[in-house]
Amino acid sequence: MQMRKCAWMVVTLWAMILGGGAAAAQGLTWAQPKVAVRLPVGATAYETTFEFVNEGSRPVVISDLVVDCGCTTAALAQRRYAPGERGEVGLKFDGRGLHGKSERTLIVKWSERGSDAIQSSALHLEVEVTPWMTAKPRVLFWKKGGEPEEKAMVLTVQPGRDAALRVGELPAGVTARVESTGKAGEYRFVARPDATDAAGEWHVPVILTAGEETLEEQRLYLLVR
Amino acid sequence: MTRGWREVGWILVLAALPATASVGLERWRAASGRDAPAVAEEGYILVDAARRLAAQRPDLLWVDARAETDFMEDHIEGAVHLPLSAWDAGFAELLARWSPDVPVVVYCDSQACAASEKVAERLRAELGVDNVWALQGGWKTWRETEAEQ
Repeated sequence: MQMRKCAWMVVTLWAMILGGGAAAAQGLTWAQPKVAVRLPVGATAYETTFEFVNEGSRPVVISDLVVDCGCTTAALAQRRYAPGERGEVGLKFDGRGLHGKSERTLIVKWSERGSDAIQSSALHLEVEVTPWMTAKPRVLFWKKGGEPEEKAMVLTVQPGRDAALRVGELPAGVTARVESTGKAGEYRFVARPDATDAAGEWHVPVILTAGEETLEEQRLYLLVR
Repeated sequence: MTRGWREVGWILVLAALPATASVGLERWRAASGRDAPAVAEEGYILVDAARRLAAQRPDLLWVDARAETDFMEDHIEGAVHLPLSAWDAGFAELLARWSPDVPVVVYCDSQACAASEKVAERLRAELGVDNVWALQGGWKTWRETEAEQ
């Protein structure tokens, strides 16, 4: 009797395991749920698609697409997919102002016809953005009442284009210039306020061009506090 | 016997010297504000330490690195919204209240998110200072421990 009970338990366990596996295989399955890409220097936009197939025996309805950032938008051609039908979710990434690697997650919420259970699939996009120019630091600071002496920061420009760097339209009350440090792709931004007797804040544009094309424009900041 | 007691006395005096110096140093550090806040690991600040720092430094800048919808729903009072995805606008807003001696604490959702660490790292680079920390445990831990205050 005891033996039979044990055997039933083993059979039930196997049924649960196999049944669970079968259930997991139903519904939407994704060809590549994670995409990683490194954009060319200066590029900030990227579009990709996540392909899926409904491998279940019942139609699937996609109820929602949730992205974790305003800089990413998701799109779907249709909401309802028959068994065996293929589809894709489009994802647009806008990396303006970003540096380095960014990870975005898209949650796709879906359910099978006849089931109240909402399921979700997590899709991941990793994009590496390399701006044409980086400034370290990006802020020059003077103490109020201190000497308005010249201060500098270093600008590094990525290789690949015959680029020229210049200061854009200067706001009143400051002087600024860009000069080469002598190293390839490295510049010094030198600036100072005319006076430091009052608190002030100036945003100075620095523009990187290649011929007629503007590769990048950044704002550098001068503060008196 | 008298010699023995004298030796014991000297030992006690010698032992008390470093302890006294240590207490004095701690008090001087606290009074001068030179001590760095308690950090869980490099670049992070514990929630308790952040609360103490905010009490000592009312000019402390909170930076919210979460999504806009989360920020709009609720945030630490006075926080600047500065996610990596909207850097320039948030950075300009932060600069309006920043100077190099102002401590900055960045938070995101919870311990699982990496946004606060990334924003803190970028702020350290762009501001050229070290007094920028990511809040250990983030907004979730901040809210959970709020009732204990």
